[in-house]
Amino acid sequence: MAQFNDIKVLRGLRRGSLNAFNEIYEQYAVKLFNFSMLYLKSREEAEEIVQDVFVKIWQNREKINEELSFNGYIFRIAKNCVLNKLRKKINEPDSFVSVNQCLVGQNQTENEVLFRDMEGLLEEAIEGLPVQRQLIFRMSRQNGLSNKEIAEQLDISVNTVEGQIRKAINYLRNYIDILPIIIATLTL
Amino acid sequence: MNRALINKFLKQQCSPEELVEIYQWLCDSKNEIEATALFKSSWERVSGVIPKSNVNFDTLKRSILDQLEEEEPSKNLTNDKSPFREEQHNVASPEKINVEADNEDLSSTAHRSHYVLSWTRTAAIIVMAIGLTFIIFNYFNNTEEEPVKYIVKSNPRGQKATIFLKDGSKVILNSESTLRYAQDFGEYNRELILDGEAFFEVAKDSIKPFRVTTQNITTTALGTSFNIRAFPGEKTFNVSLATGKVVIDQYQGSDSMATGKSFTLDVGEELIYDNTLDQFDRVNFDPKEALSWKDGIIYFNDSRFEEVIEKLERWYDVEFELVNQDKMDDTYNHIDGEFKDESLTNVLRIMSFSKDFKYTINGKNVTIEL
Repeated sequence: MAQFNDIKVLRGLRRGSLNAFNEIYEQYAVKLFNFSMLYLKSREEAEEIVQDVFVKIWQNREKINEELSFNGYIFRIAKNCVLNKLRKKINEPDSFVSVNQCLVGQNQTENEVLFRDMEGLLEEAIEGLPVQRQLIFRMSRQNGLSNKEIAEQLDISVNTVEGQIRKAINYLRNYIDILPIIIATLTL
Repeated sequence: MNRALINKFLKQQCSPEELVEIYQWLCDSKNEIEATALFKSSWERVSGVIPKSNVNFDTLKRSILDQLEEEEPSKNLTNDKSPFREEQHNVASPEKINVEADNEDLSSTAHRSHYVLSWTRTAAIIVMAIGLTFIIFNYFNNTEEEPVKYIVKSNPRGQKATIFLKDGSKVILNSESTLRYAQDFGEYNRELILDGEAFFEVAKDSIKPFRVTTQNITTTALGTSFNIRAFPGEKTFNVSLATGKVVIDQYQGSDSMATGKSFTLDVGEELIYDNTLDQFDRVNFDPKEALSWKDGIIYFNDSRFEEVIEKLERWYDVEFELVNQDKMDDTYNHIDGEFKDESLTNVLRIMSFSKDFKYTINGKNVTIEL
């Protein structure tokens, strides 16, 4: 799927043009459905995500910054919608009974590639952090140390550790959400 | 991170119990970054190929449009020229997105989706409210310790607010802007998060710096007054310094790995950051232009028509519609004016003396005819 980057379409959307809305729907509806399906395993719920995401895009159309990556923008909305649905599902275990695992037509190889993508993306993002922050983040997340332990080892205050982790998370979240990743061009 | 489980999940081989485990992992704020990476990689990998399930993307689109129409009755939808209606007539033509024929009756499908939607919306609002609280509470606190409670002050369009902080600092928050800070603000530190525009008068405290974060930029002050303008959707971010000294740090560029350009501003200086170009510009600012909003004055100085409209929309909580936009040219730019406590009618009337346009105000909708 091509990277959606037509400033004209996004300007149109901001103005409330339905043609622009249609173009975006055509570009993203199927992808959005398949993405939701991968996580939710339910056709109804995946359809609901498609609806929710496009309703949000329309409602927030004036806030869209056409200069930034629209792919990142729609991804962020989709991710949040799926997460909300997942939180709800956790509280309603009955809804799992009828999961259909084979609805998304992806084969094993692709999914292995996907796993490598994820690890690569994570590493690439973490490497973009300043050295000290990177170290603290890795100690916390990859070595499972508590903030207090990190503070003691590095001889800094717990406040500093908390601050560094918070900034790291902020950066990483933005980096991963927004950045158009290179793998997009290699889509299978 | 449980690699084996994630792998199994991606191969679609999870049992329902394992699925619950994956869902819990994805939702746990401790794993936010890893989960985001997984989501993002699958988002990029997932194909745009129509799935072999019974999904009719046209019907789905129609029910979305129905819902939008329901929510925006003001959007001249009774009018035959309504884009929504026009669209519904066009929709029959087979498009790229057309899927294997759905055997169900179209109208009944549309109806059902619609019902599902209103039900989902209620649920979504509840889940979102819970989710939001959850996110805000966890946003700064991905640690095992007590969650920090945050105070959120938010202004809709057309409203401003003055906030007095515990440390003696004062914030004037512009419309359509949000300020967040910890409940124990001032005790250990003075950190705030701003979306939109605010003017800060900072009380002196040489130990705890006063820090305002907007997206990826942090402005630090000791005892000063300054203005920050960072509306989402606008491509620039501005900090204007009225008194004292501030330091501005960039934490990352959205598409470069640059971490931490740093600037110190002097009185009367403004730092403009262009999001798109990832470029900083230091200029002397016109105090009237940057700061008059906090005294209730709308001030234009050689402003572009588009800018004027954006400002008025925010100020008066209205929506502008431009008729005959093709007549728009540079003669409509370069707008000057200063209005204190004026009604929108007066502002538009005065503007229309120098620029050639007609206007009609109908509730919250303003039509400008060039």
